Amino acid sequence: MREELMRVHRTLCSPFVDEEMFRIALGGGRGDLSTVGRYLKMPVLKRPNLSPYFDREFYAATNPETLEQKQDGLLHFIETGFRNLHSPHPLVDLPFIVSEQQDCLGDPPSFALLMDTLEYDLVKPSPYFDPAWYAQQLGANDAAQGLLRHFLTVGLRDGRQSNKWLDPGWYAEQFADVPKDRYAALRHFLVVGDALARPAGPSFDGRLYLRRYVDVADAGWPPLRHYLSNGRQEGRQVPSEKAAPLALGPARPGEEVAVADAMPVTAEATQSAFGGMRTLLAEAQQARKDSVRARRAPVIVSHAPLDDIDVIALPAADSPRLSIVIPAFNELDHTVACLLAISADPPALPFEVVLADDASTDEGMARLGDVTNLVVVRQATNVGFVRNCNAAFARCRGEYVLLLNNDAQVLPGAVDRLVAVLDADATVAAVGPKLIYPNGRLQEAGCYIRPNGESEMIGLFADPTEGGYCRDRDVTYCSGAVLMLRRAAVGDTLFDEAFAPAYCEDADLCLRLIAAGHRVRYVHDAVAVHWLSVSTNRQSQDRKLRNIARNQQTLCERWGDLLAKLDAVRPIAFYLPQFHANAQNDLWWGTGFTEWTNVVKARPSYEGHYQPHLPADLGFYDLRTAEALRRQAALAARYGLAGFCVYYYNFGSQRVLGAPLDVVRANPDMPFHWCLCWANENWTKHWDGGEREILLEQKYDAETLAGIVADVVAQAADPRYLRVDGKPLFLVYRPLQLPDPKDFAAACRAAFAQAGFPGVQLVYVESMEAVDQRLRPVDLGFDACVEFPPHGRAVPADTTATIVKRNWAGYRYDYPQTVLAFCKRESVPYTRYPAVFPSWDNTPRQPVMGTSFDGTSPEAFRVYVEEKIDEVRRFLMGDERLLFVNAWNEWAEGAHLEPDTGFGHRWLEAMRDAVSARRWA
Amino acid sequence: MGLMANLDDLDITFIGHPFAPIGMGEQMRSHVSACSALRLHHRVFDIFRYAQRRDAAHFAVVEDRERRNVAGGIRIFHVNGDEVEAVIAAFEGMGGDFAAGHNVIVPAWELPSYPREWARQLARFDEVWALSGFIRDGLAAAGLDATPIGQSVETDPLAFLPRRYFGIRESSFVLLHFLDLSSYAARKNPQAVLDLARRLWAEQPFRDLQLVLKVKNGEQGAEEWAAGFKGDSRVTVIDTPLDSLGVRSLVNACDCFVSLHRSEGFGRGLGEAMALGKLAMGTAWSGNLDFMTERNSLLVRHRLVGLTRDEYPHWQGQSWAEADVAHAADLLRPFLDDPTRGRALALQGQRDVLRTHGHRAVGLRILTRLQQIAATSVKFGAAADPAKSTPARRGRGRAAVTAAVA
Repeated sequence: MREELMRVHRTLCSPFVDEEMFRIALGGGRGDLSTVGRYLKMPVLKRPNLSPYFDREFYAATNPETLEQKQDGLLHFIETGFRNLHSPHPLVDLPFIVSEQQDCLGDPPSFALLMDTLEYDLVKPSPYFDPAWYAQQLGANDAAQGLLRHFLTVGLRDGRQSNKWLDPGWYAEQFADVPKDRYAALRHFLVVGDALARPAGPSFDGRLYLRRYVDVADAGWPPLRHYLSNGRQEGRQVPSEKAAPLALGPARPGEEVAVADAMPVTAEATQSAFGGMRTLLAEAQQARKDSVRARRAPVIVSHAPLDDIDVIALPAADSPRLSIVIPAFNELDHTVACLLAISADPPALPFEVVLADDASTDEGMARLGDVTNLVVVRQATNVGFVRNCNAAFARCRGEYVLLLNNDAQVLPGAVDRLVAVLDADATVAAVGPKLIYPNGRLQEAGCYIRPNGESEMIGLFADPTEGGYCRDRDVTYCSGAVLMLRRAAVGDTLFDEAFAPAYCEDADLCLRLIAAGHRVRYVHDAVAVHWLSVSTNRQSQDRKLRNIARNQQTLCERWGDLLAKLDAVRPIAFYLPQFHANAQNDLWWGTGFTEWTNVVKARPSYEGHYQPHLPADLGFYDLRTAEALRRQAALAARYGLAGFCVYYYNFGSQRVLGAPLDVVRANPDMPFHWCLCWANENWTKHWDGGEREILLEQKYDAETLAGIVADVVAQAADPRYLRVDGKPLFLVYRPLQLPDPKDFAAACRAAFAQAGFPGVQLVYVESMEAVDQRLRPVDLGFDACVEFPPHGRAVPADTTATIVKRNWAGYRYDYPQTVLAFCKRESVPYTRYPAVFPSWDNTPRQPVMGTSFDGTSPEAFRVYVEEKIDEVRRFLMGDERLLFVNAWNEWAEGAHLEPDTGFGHRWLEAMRDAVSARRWA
Repeated sequence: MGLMANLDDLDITFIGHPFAPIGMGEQMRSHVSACSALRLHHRVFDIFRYAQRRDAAHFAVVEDRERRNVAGGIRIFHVNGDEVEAVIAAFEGMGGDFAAGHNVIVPAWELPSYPREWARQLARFDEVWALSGFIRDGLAAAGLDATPIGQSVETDPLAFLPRRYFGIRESSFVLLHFLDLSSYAARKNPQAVLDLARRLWAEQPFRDLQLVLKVKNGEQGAEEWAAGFKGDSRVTVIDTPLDSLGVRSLVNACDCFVSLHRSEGFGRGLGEAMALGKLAMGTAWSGNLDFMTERNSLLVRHRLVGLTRDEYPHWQGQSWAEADVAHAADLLRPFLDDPTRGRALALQGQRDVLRTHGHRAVGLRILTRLQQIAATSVKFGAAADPAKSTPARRGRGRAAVTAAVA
């Protein structure tokens, strides 16, 4: 008996038991064994719960063996149930929690971690409890954490709900067998009602959901549980049925509409769509900036600089390969620390250090003359940064010169890395390191310059370990704070004195180098810390900005045309050639079948659903006619597109849909620019590239592959074929379907080399299985990849759809949120071409299972394009500045820039305006 | 040097019609924006306050710079020669002391010589700024030296309204002309633009070429003009009132902005169109030559003719240009069917005009001049020391106010 008492005492000391509930229920603390005695005297089913997260009746019902053996559920849960993930409460669903985040409870599961998870809302506790939604309902005032506890102890009683759909009060009123108590009703729905597909509330009817989504019914899911845990993410709809006649055209409530009506344009709607998208993005950018957690940089700080001078040890160098120039005006502590950093980790090659003292007034600075082997070039009067650096530069003997601001510090190994890059490639004339702030945030990973002469420090305030900043690449310039130069390329004069006293001189220098055919490179694993002093005095701040403006103007007058050329972005749109009849489609789909056959049949599935999309200017064209291709090319050129990325199909024995490009190639005067994307997937009855009901199987035998490579090489010879740095662009739609991607890549390269090309730019498409795999192109033997929106990041629409199509069981997504998701993507340490999509809707191919995007607008699209252009500017250089569009004419997927009756040229205008908005500033 | 004033210690005030939807308002707002880009601490003073304040773009420029009183310092008046008298009276009537600061005037004018009688009014100011080389020459002809400043044509990339908003055919090559039907319509020469379009249509009746004419709402004669095109789908007349967003959207929606003007003081419409990356066609004469060259736009040949009676105020002894419409058609023809060619020229135009007439370029010219004024103007000879507002100077100011009120 005593043993039993002690066992229960120990069990009840678990962190799962709530101290306060224990005290209230048993009249004493857990240390008092008499309380345990009292507990044990109560009948098993009448004992108190002792935790907000425990429901004795629920536990007994879900663990019937405890009932049979008259076991205490709470003790059972703590002692064995928890270990086996038996849930203690209808809203604490342990298997679900673990499926959400595998290791959150530990192995074996620990109560401490469970309590952390619940009390700090680390993981959603049940599909039926939506912490984010609940917090939003509460507003800012109430429980910041422990939301489930709040709901169970306060919220439920106050009439609140655990998610948007489940209303226990309403549910209890509908069914006589449901208890009226709100908690009991909630539990009833979770345990009984949902499995019976009863409605959870006025806006969610499980039967309708199962009727629409037969696969869910077949799998035996409780409908609300399915919707909350999977369906919502999949873009499935909460059905709200409406017996409506078959609607046509852009269906809007209460309006009679007809096919081919233009969508109305109002100034208010356009401004609000544009402004709304901008606001969403600005908030996300701010949140992202705020969330950066950087580790402080390991800098040397000189607290007693005068004493520290004696510690500086610089080696002698008769013929230095590197000259380190340190421009300084006072700031003895920084200057000494800067020298100490070099002395602590001297570069491996022979080097000299030249201190360019711009007539410092700090007496301590003169003491630096005592440092052995330090060359001091001192100005008689303060001449400013440009002239001071120039004077020192004239004294440099090294093959390379490192400009190192006195308020900067190179971290160990940085100088050697910079030297190595210059050593390795004679075409590189300037290299800059990753500059970070002392607090560890990124300051600059190279810079780009807008055509107006303003520059942006790439990655300012970001996390320096983010992918995009962790690879070496060419840039327009690197800050002169830490910049290593090939002296021969620079010539006799370092900075142009037109920029005296300071600002933009480094940009001018780098542009001078680029104009002369050299390259400027950012080296990611050379790191330097830079204090980048910011004046707080408004007047001196304004004066500084005016000096900068003056020098930017000079920069722009001098290099404007070069800057515009370096900054130009080439938009390329994916292009579907399936707009002409061919033997295969005639056989499978009926004679005369083309993409248009499906397009015209589409009907709206729900209110507000824009279908069908019908062509305007170009009509129902046939791509076997040169006239149609010419008009496409002219339209694309008119709105500034650089060309098309045309899908190429080759199934070994059969090469299909090649007719349009045959016409293009037979008409060399046609201004049709293109590159190829091999659409390497099976053709199926379902248009899904899958394995079911295959019509044409993609083969990968040696003969097929050789034929494909030969075709691409032949097409690339056309002067209109799109290239990057002279290398023809070739895309592969599903790289992971290739049996041996590296082998294929090597074969491509060999064939292009043999044909006399300087190479080929191999790009894989982030489609299907390649989405979000962070698949480095180099691991596949490729050069780059391209985004393929909306694949991979579509955000479901969470509004209710009023469905007007019989049997519709499709998926709806939210356009602005999806755009946001694509714009928030982390950068990657390889070349990834961004892409944009105007809208997407495959209702023509899947009339009752279609996927569509709501909230699309040319204005939101324009913001999207502008954002992606900024991404291009940040992470790509020169000829690599490509922006893909999905798509030019995917009419059956609702993704087309080509004019339709509803939107006309508005997508093209938005595209043009976005490019134009980024053409100067 | 010790007495030289620091520019940031001086009040700088733009005085004129900051909310007026007319050229005088535009030129002033362009200077305000240019100075904002350079972080000057300038203010704005609305002299007559008659303009309705509705345009969001105007508020964005003026922001919180507006003041209801004007201190000393440098005052830049964006007013015309014929309103000087009234402006100074109003200024002093509102408590301003005209004599207490350094006064600059930035007049508009559209013919080769500036009218003598207005030049006398301009002489009441400490200096004159020229909005273009053409205006500077015109002022010089009237014996006035002016500092060339120009004006900014840069605009923020707004969420432009699409062609459909205006009912403009999307497929067309669109020529846009801003029609001015005021009593001196001859200067803008809309007839030449119409002749140009008719000539091109005559060559190819089904050419997809549209002419869009913007007329000011309620302007006299507008209805008659519009009636002349009734039923002609090739001409769109826009006569609804447009705010800045509307006007810029309209320019953005066109392929080529056409002005076969006889004379322009500066040619703001052409400049703004170029800044938006649009092809611009203009008579190769007068103010627009500050930013239009043969490598960045379409310059139309012309011959100079003398003005006849009452064709324009102060017409005596003046001449202007008669554009050669046949040449205009020749220039335009190759671009109608070749979008890439037009774009290349337009992009060059955009870069050129923003480089010389963007906010920063104009702001720097203003800044340079203001710094010279601060350093050299006798009015600020004592500005750097406390004697800035000596009783004597103040007294004189008060006397002037009293006189004006009396």
